[in-house]
Amino acid sequence: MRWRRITAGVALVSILSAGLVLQNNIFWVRVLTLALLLSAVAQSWNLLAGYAGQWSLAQLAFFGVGAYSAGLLELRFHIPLLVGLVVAIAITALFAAVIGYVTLRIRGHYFALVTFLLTVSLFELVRYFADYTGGQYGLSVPFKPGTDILMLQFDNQIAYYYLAVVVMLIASATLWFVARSRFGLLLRAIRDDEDSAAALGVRVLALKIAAMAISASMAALAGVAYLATYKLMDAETAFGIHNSLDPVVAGILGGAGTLTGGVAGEFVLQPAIAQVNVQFGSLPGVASLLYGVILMLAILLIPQGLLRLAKPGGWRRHKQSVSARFRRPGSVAQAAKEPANVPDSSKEAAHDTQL
Amino acid sequence: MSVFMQVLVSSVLLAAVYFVLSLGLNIIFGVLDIVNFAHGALIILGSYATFFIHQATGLSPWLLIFVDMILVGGLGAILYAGYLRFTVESPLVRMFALIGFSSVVVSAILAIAGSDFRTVKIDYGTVNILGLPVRVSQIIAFGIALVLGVVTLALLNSTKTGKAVKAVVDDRVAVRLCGINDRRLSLLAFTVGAALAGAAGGVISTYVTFGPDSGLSFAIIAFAIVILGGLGDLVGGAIASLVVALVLTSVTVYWSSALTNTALFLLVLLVLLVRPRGVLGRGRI
Amino acid sequence: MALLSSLEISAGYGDLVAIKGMSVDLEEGTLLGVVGPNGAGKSTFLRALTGVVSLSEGRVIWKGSDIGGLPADARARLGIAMVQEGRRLFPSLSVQVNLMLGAYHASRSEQRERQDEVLQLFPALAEILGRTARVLSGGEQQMVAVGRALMGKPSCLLIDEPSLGLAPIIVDEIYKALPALLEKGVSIILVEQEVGRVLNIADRLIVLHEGTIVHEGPAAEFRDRPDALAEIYLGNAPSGKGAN
Repeated sequence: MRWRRITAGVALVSILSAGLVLQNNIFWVRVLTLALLLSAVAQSWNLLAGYAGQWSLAQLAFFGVGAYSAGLLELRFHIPLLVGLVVAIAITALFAAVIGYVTLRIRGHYFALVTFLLTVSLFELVRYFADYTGGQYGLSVPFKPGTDILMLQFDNQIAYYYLAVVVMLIASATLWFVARSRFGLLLRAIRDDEDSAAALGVRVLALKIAAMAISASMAALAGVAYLATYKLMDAETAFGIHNSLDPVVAGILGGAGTLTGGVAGEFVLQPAIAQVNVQFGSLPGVASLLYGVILMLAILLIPQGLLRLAKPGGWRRHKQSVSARFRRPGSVAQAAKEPANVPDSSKEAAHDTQL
Repeated sequence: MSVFMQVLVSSVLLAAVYFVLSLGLNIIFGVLDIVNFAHGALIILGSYATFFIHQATGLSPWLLIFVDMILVGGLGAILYAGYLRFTVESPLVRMFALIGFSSVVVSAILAIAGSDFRTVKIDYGTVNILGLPVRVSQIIAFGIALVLGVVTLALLNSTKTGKAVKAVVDDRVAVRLCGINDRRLSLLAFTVGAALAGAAGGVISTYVTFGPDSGLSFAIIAFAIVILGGLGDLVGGAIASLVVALVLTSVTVYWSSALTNTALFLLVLLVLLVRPRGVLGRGRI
Repeated sequence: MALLSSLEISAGYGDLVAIKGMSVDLEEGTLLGVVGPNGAGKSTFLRALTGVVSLSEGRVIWKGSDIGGLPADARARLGIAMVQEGRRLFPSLSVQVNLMLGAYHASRSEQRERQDEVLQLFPALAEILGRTARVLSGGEQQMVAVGRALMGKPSCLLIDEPSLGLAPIIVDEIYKALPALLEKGVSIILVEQEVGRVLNIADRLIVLHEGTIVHEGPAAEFRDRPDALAEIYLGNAPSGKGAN
């Protein structure tokens, strides 16, 4: 237990000081800021998938909905961003709850599919209503010199880095609170065996919708912060089907169902993408290719995520599970209920791969 | 003739193509319990294969449909036997692995073939059906799609293997206890599903212009059909194909072609809300 | 040498251990009855033998060889057939196709022959060959389930609670077929809730309680002393394993 606190402490201190230490290295500041903002989104994916067992492809879309809401509130109604932030989160949460109401009643397959369709649909809609949203050029909020906290405007560029840190901390804290709470316990019960939970009187649908709303709020928060930082949000970034994989890849890479999986995943993913872009940036589709390859490899080789691998005994369990999945099978595992979380490697049943 | 009749004719012609589009997806879902998120990528691979081979050899695109089936089916077999079956045995995890694969394929296409839009141009002239000018190639596509659909259903219903595949859809463990190697049937199902996706791509390549990302739109159509028809229900899928074709054609004609995905999304939401088991009520929830 | 044996097998679902340390022998040409209260692990035992559930410990021996490493379909091809609890037919397929799949690897003519044999055993099936399994009554389903298992010409048949949810008259029909099977040389393990029925036809009996064997012995022992069995069955202190 103690080593975990130490590592967490070290990580936190590094993140906090990195802003000051790397101030003048614009490349790295940008990469880390993005990593921090996307961590919040990845953590929101982590919450839904790892704790509630719902695998969503719309987390970045909620990120976008939050950003567009706040942006439109500022542009059309001159509501300062900080205030608009709160409203935007509420709008996104409500939106997510409505979607959830329809789709969370049926199996996980449908949910993943519908979130996918939602993302694509939003992409279309944003482009269609270009008059309001800026279409393919995106929504931009005006840049004003000087510092205005209400408008989330900062003179010193480094402040945006720390804004991102705050966002990441809020998201992680939310996840932490949920995981520790009775709510989180019930969610995990639902994730593991929905029917039994329902039989015990747990209000399954209501809890799932709540988880979805919370998760969407986390993403929306990051979205507004992104808008404040880059002054721009466009359809491709928020609702592009290639980008929508980002929180998923990060979440799986870091470890679905761990407390900081989303953060760990993004901190591995974003620098990697940035480096690749530096080398091959001119080639189209490189980021997309990278997402795909990493996702495929991560699922095959480290489905439990990097964080669980790093735990004591993690490497041993990892080797066991990998050999179990690749070797000629022992007896066939019972057709088990689908594990909504990525299964803990130590409990994995022998897999039947022999053709 | 009224616009409505034209919409109707158009829809009927499209429905067959859409049905083939959805067949592969439905079979894979029924047998493997996975929503094949790589479906769009496999379809578009078929389209590109037809395009380039046709360009290079001048072979008839209709003939090339068979080549597509072999190429894309083969790729599906390799994907399943060489990768998918070694991943965690959870449908959700595998679905996401397929999303990754889809990304890889589409990026590869983008890198190799560029982002230009392509189409396979063949011109046999146009015919007039109930006031709507219809290209003869569209009619041929309709015919081929119909044949593909009918043959697939026939094979499933009348061959020993086909029946075993249908049995796996019903109850995999019971199939095993009958001494039947269900894993081979899974491989077969995935291969056939991929082959059908490739064939659909080949058919579509003569119908529309397509780019590396077009697989997405086709996949969405397939998803909508599969949900509307009932997951795992092929006959329901046939009916759903017509409905989806009607919906899409109507939306394009009466509203805007830029909102087709949204229309399908709303349709799916509606189905999930009102009749989650699909039109015939036989879909798996 | 026993036809089929389990050697100290344990199996379960995830963290739940359903059976522990079970060692059982099935002699060729005999019927072994397995009884016990709900949740005792009877179904798990059969599933562990056929490979539907993984073993966490122990071995399964068939004709002297360890088959623990074989997947369920390979074991079935060896001649071990199972009739699952709740029948588990293929609901969307007809009775005839359900039967045919039981003899998947056999030739057309062989399939026809075997189907005729099954129809001899269960004449009522002849009328409903074309019907979809989904619409059959419980009793009809049970007959098809047993028939399908027999289509594979098994040397060993495992039956899990055939009387579950069926009217007594129907269950009689099923049980009538068992002695005929024994005569043909099929060895049987029968898991049952209705102890009385099992006692009538079993050669040996095993009583399971909470995953372990609390009593085993020749069925004759219990036929003469019904109270002794009731005692054990109701979970009183186990009186130890019976004389072999």
